[in-house]
Amino acid sequence: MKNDHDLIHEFQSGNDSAFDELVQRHLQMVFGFFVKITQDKMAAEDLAQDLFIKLYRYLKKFRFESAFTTYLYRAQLNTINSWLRRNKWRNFLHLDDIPETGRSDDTVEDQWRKKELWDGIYQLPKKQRTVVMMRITEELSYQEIGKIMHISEGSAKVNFHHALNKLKEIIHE
Amino acid sequence: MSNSFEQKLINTVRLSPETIDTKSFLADLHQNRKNKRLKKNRLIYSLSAALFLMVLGGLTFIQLDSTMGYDNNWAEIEEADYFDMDFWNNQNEIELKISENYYNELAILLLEEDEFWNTIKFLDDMNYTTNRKEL
Repeated sequence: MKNDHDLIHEFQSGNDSAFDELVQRHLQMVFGFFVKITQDKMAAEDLAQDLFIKLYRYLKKFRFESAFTTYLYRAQLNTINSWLRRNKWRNFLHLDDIPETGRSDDTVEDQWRKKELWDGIYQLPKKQRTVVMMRITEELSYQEIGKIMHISEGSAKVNFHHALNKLKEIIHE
Repeated sequence: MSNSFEQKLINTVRLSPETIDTKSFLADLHQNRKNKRLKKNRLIYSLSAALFLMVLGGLTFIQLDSTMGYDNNWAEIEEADYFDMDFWNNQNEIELKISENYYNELAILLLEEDEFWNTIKFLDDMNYTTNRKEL
């Protein structure tokens, strides 16, 4: 079975179906990440579309210095951070009082708890917010988070703990 | 303490796995990519056309402006001729000289016709004193 780098090599030499295979391989993970954060399947699909369209353009210049998944996580974080920026006022004004999860198994109480948690996460500084998102949605190790964010493992850990303390204050835990 | 809070957060955001139809996603992806490229190309063409029209407009304006300047000068010369109230300019002097020759020729013609007295009278009417002495 071809690994990600082999597929990127093929794509760079003009084989578009290699790109399709890469998408198929990573789509569920990307989509799941966006769904957890946006709590909205439609928004998550739009974000995934945006990400893969950009990826199609930038993958031609991929330099094989890191694993493709690290590169993809970085792209996911950039995409979600710009989405959060765009939706900052929307969230601040509570235009979506109850998030649309499209899931029938979530009780209203669960939805409110999630909403409260994400409102808290949105208020964190960018670095702390990014570490928290990676840690609680993808359950990545501090080492992996450090690699993705170009920071040390220790720095990732410290940022996460600062973020947890702030979150506790925000959501009165 | 911190770990239990972390676990609580993880449980809160954890969902049963969400799936997406890969085939339709890929079809949409390629369609969107094409649309975006078309939109970008259209934007580039529109900007190029606008730039071309601006340059063309600018050049035309410069060209018309220089022609208009020429017309203005020409009109000023015309106006100067039409409204020149100085009757005793060089042009009139030339006309007077022509008239002098004309009187001389008329006087000689009258003399040739043996109209001596009429010639004197004609020159008198024209105040042609200098010529009379010469004659």
